[in-house]
Amino acid sequence: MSKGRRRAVHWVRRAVQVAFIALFIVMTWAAAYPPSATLDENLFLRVDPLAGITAAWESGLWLYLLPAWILLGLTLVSGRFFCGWICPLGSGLEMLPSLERRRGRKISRLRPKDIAGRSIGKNDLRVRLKYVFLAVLVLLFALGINAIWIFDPLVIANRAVVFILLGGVPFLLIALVVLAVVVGPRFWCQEMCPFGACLSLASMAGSRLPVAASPLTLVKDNDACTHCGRCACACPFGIAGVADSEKTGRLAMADCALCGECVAACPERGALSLRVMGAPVLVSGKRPGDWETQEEAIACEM
Amino acid sequence: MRDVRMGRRDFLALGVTGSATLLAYALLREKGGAVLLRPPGAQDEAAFTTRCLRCGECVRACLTQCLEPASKDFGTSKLWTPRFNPALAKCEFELCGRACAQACPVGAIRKPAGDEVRIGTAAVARSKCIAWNEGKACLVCYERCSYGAIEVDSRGRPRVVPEKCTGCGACQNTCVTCPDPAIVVYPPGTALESGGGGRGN
Repeated sequence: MSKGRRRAVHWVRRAVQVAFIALFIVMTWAAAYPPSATLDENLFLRVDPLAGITAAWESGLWLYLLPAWILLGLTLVSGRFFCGWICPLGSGLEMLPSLERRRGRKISRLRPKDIAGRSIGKNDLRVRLKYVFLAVLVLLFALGINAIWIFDPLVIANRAVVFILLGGVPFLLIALVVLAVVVGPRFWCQEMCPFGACLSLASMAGSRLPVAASPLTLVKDNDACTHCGRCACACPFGIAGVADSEKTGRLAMADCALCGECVAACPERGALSLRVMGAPVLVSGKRPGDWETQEEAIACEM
Repeated sequence: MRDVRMGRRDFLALGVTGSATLLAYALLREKGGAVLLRPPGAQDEAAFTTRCLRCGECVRACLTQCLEPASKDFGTSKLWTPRFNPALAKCEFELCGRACAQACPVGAIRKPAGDEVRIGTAAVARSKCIAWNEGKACLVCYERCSYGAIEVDSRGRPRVVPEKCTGCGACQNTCVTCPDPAIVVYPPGTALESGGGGRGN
């Protein structure tokens, strides 16, 4: 597979992300009077499990939850694809110029245990800030206080669009933009977002499902991996190439957003692959016919 | 960003969760419980504040653009919730088909079938009203009211009939008194003097 073809996943994903950002803005724009006959408000807000639970609370409006249930079900089998491909806020933040990206992610800055090839131990669990935020939101909700409006990415994005249309200043969005530029483009998504934490928990629950049953998975072949660490450097979510399950070979399901950047960066044939229902659609490394140029690739600087 | 072992870090995470919850609870807890003017169908203030996402869809959807996100003056727990401001426009709940209720993604603004609307109740501040104060023949609020909720006595002075008032805000929106209107819509539960008068801003 040529390098150009492998890089194509990056541009395909960018196109999808831009399309969803445009759709999000159009849907918020179209929420103005008169209400549409088909859809009155931004559908993105109903995809949100946090908002869905808010709707179902006391009022029993479980139908409002339907899109959220569908997303949770898809996340169970396919991981956080929503974050990598659809979320308008995360996509927007990822496209920002970042100080971190400017400095460059160097393998030397990663600790050895972060680098690809290490399988996760039984007692290892990533306790990230996002889970703390999610727990705080749930506890506050039990106490009768709704704090979802502060932390929910889709609510923040929707309110920002409405505020800008009204001539207001979207303070929370500006704060997130500053965070992305200074700390890292996906820092919010990976470490703080409670919506992402919900999806992470769902994908954790489904991480033992067979690859063939999943509409989209990243699969890692530990035998083909040479532990070069390029995948860890390419990952916008800052996760290392760690397989969650030795049996299925699924890659870091809980936090992986299935963006495919690692597949594009990986020099080893077949070490990483993006699969649809078990069939590889994007495979790392070169085709057998390209082997004569492999030495050049190895000689290439990282 | 790092792998941690369950146990001590877990304990730390629990501690952080607990203290963050307490801090947020202290910040967001409703103090005093001020009631704001809300879109029709959102008059249960406590339930509405709990459910509202502050997404701004209702503000966007309103026909007359009479809603605004509440500023921080109304308290942190009410920040950016939709507030009906009759100074912007009157609420045309009979014409718009309850666009705000339709737009709400979490059903916080309800659209009860055939239920009577009571966003609030208007009251005349006699000290400001030029009909009461200066004896002038001003009947603007009386003429604008679609519900016959304003009665005028033999000397041309307006009074609000609270039973008929829906709180649509037409009277406040149109009142000629500067800078503050002499007739103002108050949220439900506000103590008003009998005859709907007397209370200032």
